[in-house]
Amino acid sequence: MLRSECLSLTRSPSNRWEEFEEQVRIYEKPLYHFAYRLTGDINDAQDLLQEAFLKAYRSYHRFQPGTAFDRWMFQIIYRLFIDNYRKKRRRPFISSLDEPHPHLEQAKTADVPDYSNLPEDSALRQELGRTIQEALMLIPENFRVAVILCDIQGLSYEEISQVLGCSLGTVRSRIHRGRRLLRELLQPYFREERRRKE
Amino acid sequence: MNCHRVQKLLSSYLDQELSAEERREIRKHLFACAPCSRLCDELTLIKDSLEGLEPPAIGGDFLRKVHLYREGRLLQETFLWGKRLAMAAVWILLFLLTSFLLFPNSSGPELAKKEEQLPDYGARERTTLQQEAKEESTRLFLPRLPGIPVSR
Repeated sequence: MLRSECLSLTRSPSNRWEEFEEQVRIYEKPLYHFAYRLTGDINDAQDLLQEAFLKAYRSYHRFQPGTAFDRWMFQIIYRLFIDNYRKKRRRPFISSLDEPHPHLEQAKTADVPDYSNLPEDSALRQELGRTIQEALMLIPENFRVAVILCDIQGLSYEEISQVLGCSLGTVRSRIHRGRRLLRELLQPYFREERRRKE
Repeated sequence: MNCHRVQKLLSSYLDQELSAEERREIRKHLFACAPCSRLCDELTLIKDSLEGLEPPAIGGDFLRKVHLYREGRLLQETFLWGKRLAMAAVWILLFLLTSFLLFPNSSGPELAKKEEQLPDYGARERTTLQQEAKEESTRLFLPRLPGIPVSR
């Protein structure tokens, strides 16, 4: 049995706060990583996580003993992210006439990047991380979340289907399509890498 | 298994989410098909790269909003209890005031004093009744049977 599950079995109203704090301390790192990969920005990830913890604390009495806290949190984070994402989409975009148009900006980032001037060794990993993050931000959010949960968080398809509230077939399809899109976006980078190694 | 089917199942194959039979068939296809094998390598590279991503350094207090919420709630609760106590005090005061205004002469000690001052009209009757009862108890007890006259 998981530590979180043991904790939730011995719950009483008096130690509710201590228990919640303990759970947060255990899972804050993977949850923050998830939020960061989802939003692509440190500040947005922190805001999202703070909001998610507040929501989780307010409905902590409904948290079912025997279910994993991290999976429950993934669900909350994803729902909040989707809500914020929709709100942002509904909000009118105000920009200067001198600035490039947002859809043109996005099209520009999807172009083949130039990796010829990459710094060596340790910086390479940082560069790879940044490139992958940029690519992740370009794929639709329902594919992105499935890929993040599977490859970064290491959840099984069954667990992902529980978190996202969709069927196994949908999860399978989203992961596959997400990876195919990432492959298309990252192909120039990997090709360059291969050529440099040779 | 054809290329289309294999390419569709490749992600599940890499995630070990297929049956043993399906895995065997895909492996067999990958040995023979170069494009599918290349796609499999590229997807493996993507998967490995994602798995190897470093988590960001933790900064800031993630429970900041929860702390603020709790503080606000605690204050609210204290305020609520204070409000309840004040309301109870006001009700008690109102009750006492109305009872005093409605029944100004019915207070305890004053009533007792007045009772003491009033003449006791039933005192004589009470003493005669007490005497009769005493006599009755001193009399000889005789059973009273129906139809039989009892002489005293």
